[in-house]
Amino acid sequence: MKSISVTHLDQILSITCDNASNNDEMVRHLGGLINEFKGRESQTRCFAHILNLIAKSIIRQFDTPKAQANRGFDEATAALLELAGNIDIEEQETAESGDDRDDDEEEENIENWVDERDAMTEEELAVLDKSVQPVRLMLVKVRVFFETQFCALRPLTHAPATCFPSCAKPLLPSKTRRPFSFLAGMKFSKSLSLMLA
Amino acid sequence: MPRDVSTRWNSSFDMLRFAIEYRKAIDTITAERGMKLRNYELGAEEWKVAEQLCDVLKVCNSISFQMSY
Repeated sequence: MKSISVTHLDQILSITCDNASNNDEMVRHLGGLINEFKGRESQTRCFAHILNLIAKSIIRQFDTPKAQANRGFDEATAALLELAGNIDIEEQETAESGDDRDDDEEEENIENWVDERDAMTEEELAVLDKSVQPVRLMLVKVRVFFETQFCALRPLTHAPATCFPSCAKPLLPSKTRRPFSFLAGMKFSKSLSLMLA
Repeated sequence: MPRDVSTRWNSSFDMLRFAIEYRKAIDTITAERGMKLRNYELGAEEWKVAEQLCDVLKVCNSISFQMSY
């Protein structure tokens, strides 16, 4: 950053970075340090990052509640957790063994995370929990189903027809049997923040 | 089969889209007694919820793709 600033100090039109507060701070300071740079007016907020936050807050409310939360669960949630079984453990293992480079990204997102639930009263929370219950149940079912089928498929990758005994024809074309399909929605902002670092 | 990963919302969308596409297969497998998946059978109401959630996530997903390329 320093080397760029020395030669092209007056040529910075705009800085694009994600919504982490340290970036706001950086832009603010730059505005004070460089005359030609207007500070906040010249800050472009990364759209991909904002989109990621939006999508996450949508999907987060349907997450299976964590077992260690200290408030008691009602009957429906208890049934849900039982159905979910050990899937959370598996997920954690995946997350732990997964690539470490995502860790910074996650922390960054958590930093200015606004949890709407914090501002809600007990009654409102109860109503909300009840309303998202069907969605949670559906997601758990699909998730567990996929998990079990994935485990069943793994040793049999070359014989897809035998994985589905009830179906005469193999239902899954080979291209859809990818074990993982991570879509790097974040790569946009990640590369930009790397450029600025 | 795209699996769900808790740190990737995109994967939830992939999983749901796949599930809806192969609804018949999933229904058949879960209805099979021998597969021991009866508890995970999805009702019509639940499929509807899945479709609705999929539609919501579709918006985010397509925008994210438009922005990334």
